[in-house]
Amino acid sequence: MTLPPGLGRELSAILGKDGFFDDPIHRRVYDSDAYPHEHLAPAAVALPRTVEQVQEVVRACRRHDVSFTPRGAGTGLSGGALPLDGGLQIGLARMHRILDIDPFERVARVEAGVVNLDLKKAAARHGLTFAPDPSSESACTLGGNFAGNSGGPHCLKYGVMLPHVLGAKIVTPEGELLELGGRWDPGEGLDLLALLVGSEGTGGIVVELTLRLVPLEPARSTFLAVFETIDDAASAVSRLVARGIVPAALELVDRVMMQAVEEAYGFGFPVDAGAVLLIEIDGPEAAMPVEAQRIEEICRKKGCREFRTARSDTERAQLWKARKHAFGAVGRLSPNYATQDGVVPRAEIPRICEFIYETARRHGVTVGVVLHAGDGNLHPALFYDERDDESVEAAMKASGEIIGACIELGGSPTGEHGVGLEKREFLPLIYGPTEMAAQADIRDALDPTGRCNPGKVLPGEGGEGDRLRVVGRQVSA
Amino acid sequence: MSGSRMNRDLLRRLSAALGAETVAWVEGDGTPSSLRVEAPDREGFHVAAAILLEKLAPWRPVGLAKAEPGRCAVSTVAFDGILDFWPRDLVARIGAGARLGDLQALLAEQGLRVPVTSLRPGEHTLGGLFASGERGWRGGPNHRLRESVLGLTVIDGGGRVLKGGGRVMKNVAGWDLVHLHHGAGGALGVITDLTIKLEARPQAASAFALPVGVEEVATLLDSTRLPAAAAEPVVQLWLDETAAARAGFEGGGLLVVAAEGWREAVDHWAAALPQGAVAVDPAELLRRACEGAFWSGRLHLGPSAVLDVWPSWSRKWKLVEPSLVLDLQTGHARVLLHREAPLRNAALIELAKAGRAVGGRLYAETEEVAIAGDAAPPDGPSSSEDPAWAIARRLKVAFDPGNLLPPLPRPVGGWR
Repeated sequence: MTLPPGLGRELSAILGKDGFFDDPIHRRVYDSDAYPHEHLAPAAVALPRTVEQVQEVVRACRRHDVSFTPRGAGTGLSGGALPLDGGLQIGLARMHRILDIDPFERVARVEAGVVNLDLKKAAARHGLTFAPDPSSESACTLGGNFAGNSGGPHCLKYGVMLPHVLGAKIVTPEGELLELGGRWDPGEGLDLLALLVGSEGTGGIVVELTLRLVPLEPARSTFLAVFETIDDAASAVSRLVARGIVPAALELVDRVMMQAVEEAYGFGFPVDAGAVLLIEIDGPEAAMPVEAQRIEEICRKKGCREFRTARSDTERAQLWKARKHAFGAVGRLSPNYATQDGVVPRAEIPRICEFIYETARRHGVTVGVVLHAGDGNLHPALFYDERDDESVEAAMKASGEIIGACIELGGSPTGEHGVGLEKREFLPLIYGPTEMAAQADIRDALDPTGRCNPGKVLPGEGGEGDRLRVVGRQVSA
Repeated sequence: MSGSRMNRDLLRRLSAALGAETVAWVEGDGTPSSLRVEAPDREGFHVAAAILLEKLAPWRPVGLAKAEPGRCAVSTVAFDGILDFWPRDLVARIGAGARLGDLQALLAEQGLRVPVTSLRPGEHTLGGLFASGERGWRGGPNHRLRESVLGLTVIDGGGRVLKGGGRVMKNVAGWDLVHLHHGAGGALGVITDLTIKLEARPQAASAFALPVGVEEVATLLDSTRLPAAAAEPVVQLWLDETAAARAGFEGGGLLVVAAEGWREAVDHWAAALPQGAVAVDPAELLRRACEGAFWSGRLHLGPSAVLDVWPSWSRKWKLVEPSLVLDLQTGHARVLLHREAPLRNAALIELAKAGRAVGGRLYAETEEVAIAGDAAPPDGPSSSEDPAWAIARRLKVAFDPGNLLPPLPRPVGGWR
């Protein structure tokens, strides 16, 4: 797709020389996000700095009947920021001001392009933090977190993005400014804010957010529980939750991933174990020893052979590095990997893990598994080499079967990455035709123009971008 | 067809299908009568819904709420009980007509609870709580039904039976059919069951009240928030002098705090409280404080600003006997008037003005208190310009094409 010439001139006038680009190099820069299997270049890129510019850009697109796709930092894993129709990419990264932090009310007002970790750093100066912590927190934007209803390891205790959003300003697909919620708990009424959180940028472009901050807990303890088998570790997870223990984080890492981490960083982790649980608790000082003791007792009863406590911040950082950099470490074992985002009921963790290993074996694919175990949200990494078509195909087949199994076990194809492009075909597996029609109704209500991030979420939608789809290969539009 | 003829026809159809004893005329106080259907079971509810939809009769689901003139009320009480229970996941599918009090008692036998509170648990149904978007008296971002509902089933205004969400803890597959109905007041569909994340009851829970004047509350907000040094309380409410007196505590404002968790931690927390703290049942205390109010509203302002505005206003308008219950965690400020007086509207308008001056709003139920000189309400359903209402209207058309279900409530914060 190329933009109508008149639109290019209008956008240049709105955004200035350094805010609008339609040259091949810039288009190429924006042709992919963190979803590795699609490369779709936009017709042009707009980089607004103000809410008014976003409104003007959207109105211009409306006048010229051109689609547009919002983008934060491009860290999304399901291709949600890729412009399927070509069209205009609207990048929010230049709207990165923290407008206000009120430590008394524990509220922050930010532009959508603020990086998650930057808000955490600013809030920490007031003894506060912003709870959602996706693994990409050092790069991902809060607007992207809003669009994806993002989570992270600590959402087990603190919840995903939604409960932390008090208000939002959104530029609608018509170019109007929609203000929802406010500075305080929104109270009763039609909860459009909740509907728009997680709508993957299909209902407009979020430009400003009012977010809840929480106090930094006075104390924190981090543990590593080593198990012979994944079953034992999963059983300990169920028991912990049933006993009313809600750790801040409860992560499971399997043997393959531990081996990758150990090879990369050499932390001295047990590479012969079936799985480890990374458990973190936080709260008042007085609660720490009691809770730590209860956790160790339960883990031991469930077959934990070794229970380590991080004795210093350095040790704690190492444990988290093992988890958060696990996927980075995979690079030593495989040139490419595809990670999945299925969810199963907690009790089904052993069964889904068994299925994952069996499926990988059947397709001749190596797989390593990391789980937000408390939520049943699994991220298997399937290794492949994109230069080898058979390897790509085997990994993709295994990946699809794993998601199918998650759904069969009563789960979901996506827990935190979103549907985007990647999971569109899975939606009819969890919703019947009536629910699919209702999904389309919601989409139409949010965007009657059909111009805002078109082709996402619903299967079978898509423009010329679909024709460019080549798994595992780079394609220039 | 005239209204009365339609009602007679409806009465015949519903009686024939469900039994005469399940359908009754309900007389209002000087208002036209309306039909109330006590669906005997789930199937009966679906039959009633189908007839009403076929007859294009306005209707609304009701838990224990009163009938509304001109709108047939169909009781959801048939949708009761725990329908599915996954103990290892701590998840249950529960009928929307289940009363919160009954449900909590049932779950308590298993050492579990639904993480939501209500001052009237014996009257509120789970579906009603979700549809009204009501937040209970326990604070904190996750102590809200919205955050605990994983899935639901609804019958929409077009008769479609829709399942949204599921039974897993995280799920971002598609647009959110669950939260579409949160706070929607049944305007987009009738909730028949909800799948809910349960939680284990804490080993220990303690609540205390201690006298704290308005000046001291402001100081607490400015510094560490009592008793954050020991624990982050699950309840942190401040009652002004009038509310405290009505709750049985004379002599000034009252801070009500509660904590829960391991016995040792809760005991440690309690020991750190200032002298003079008295153990209380927060729900009972709040019930007493709110009892007998003839007007109840919400000042949407934030704790600091509420504490700035409240003292002088409440002193000036003593004749309406105003009281305040302020949730220091969420900023919810419940304003109550206990004495009817000719000038009460003037009092409310003055409070609304004071609130607006610092960027807040005063609501009676879900409607903002209007001030003389206001233009037509910017967020009214008739406005064609407000984008929040535009989305809401499109949703209404899609999910209630015959406009048979209750009208849309105000979108949360949907003003400009």
